Amino acid sequence: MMSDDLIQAELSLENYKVLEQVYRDNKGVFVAFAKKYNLPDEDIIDIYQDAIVALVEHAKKGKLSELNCAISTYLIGIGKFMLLKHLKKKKIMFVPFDIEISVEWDDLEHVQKEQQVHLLQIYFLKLGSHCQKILELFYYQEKKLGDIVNALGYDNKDVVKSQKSRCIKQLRELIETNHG
Amino acid sequence: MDKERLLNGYFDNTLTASELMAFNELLNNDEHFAEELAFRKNLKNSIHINERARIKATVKQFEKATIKPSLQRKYFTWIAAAITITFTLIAVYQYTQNPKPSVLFQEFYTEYPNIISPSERSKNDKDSLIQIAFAAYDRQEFKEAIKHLIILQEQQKTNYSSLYIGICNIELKNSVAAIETLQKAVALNNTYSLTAKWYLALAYLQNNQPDLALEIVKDFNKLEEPFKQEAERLYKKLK
Repeated sequence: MMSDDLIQAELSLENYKVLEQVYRDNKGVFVAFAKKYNLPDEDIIDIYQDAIVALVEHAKKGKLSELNCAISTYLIGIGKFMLLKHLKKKKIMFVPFDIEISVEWDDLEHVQKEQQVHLLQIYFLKLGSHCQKILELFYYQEKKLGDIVNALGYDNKDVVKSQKSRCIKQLRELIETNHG
Repeated sequence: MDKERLLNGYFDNTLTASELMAFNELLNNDEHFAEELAFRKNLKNSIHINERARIKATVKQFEKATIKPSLQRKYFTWIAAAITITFTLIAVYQYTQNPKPSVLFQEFYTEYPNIISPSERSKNDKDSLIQIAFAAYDRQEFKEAIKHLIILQEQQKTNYSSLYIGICNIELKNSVAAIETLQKAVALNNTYSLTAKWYLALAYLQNNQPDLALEIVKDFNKLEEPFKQEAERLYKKLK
């Protein structure tokens, strides 16, 4: 059996097999819990899958190392948090359960329709892979510039800083050229 | 004060007290700085949306039916094994008798045209993700097309994405991934499912599984033109 530390490390690398194992190991517990609320099976699975996505994101951001509970407990906690949000959205206000852990999660629904976000989604994918990686490490994985120096083998923080600025400038120019 | 340092410090949470004061000062009084911060916040959000869509697409693949074993199932397993062995022997026999699957694949495979983007273009939505996905598909940049198609599938629940992702994977010679995606496209039972069925047969050929391709094309009558006749022709070669 893998230790939580190892699972955490593998999840941060998106190890497909480990991710699938975590998915399968905890699905039954979550589904059994969520079924009490008379939701369609597809909704329950969708919520569980979102919880897994959040778990991977937190692993990539290094947040799992700060946990004071098992990864499976945390995953179920995220799932419950998302279930609660879903029930509230469906106007099912009486939810007789507590979420034992604190979960930081913004589903970003409020920004998805913004034109600039939409354009950035598209043109980010048009950047070279190196720019995508730097920006992903900084803005998604929330790595500090010093960590990016080590991860991508740069000489120092200033080089990363300038490279990151160039990538952002390039992204702006791409959008302005096509939508100016 | 170095504005870039302040912006970076804001995002990586390393602003000192004096830098935080300078940051707030600029935010309130420097329009350009405020706009730059908003741009970067949107960039952060857009990367999150893309990454989440990509990871969710991976996670969705885990969802396969799992049936608990029972005593009855144990007997069923033996029967199924016997049937599998029989079919395997038949398949081996057919394999030795028929043309190589790779040769048949070359003969029958043609890229499926982009039939999605032209209709979207008429909406004058020249910047849509759909158009960008299909522009990449038309340029035969299939890896890039897949990236966009996955996002489309997640965000807009497009009913054609699985078909095109499957075809992109065939083009990239990722036949296992192609089979998996095309099976899903067939199961969707929508406008594109019959087309997906034909390409699934071809993906099986590409993956050296002519017996599974035969299972599909033996029902060539259920397919639609232009694939019906091709499927009949392939069936005659495989049987």
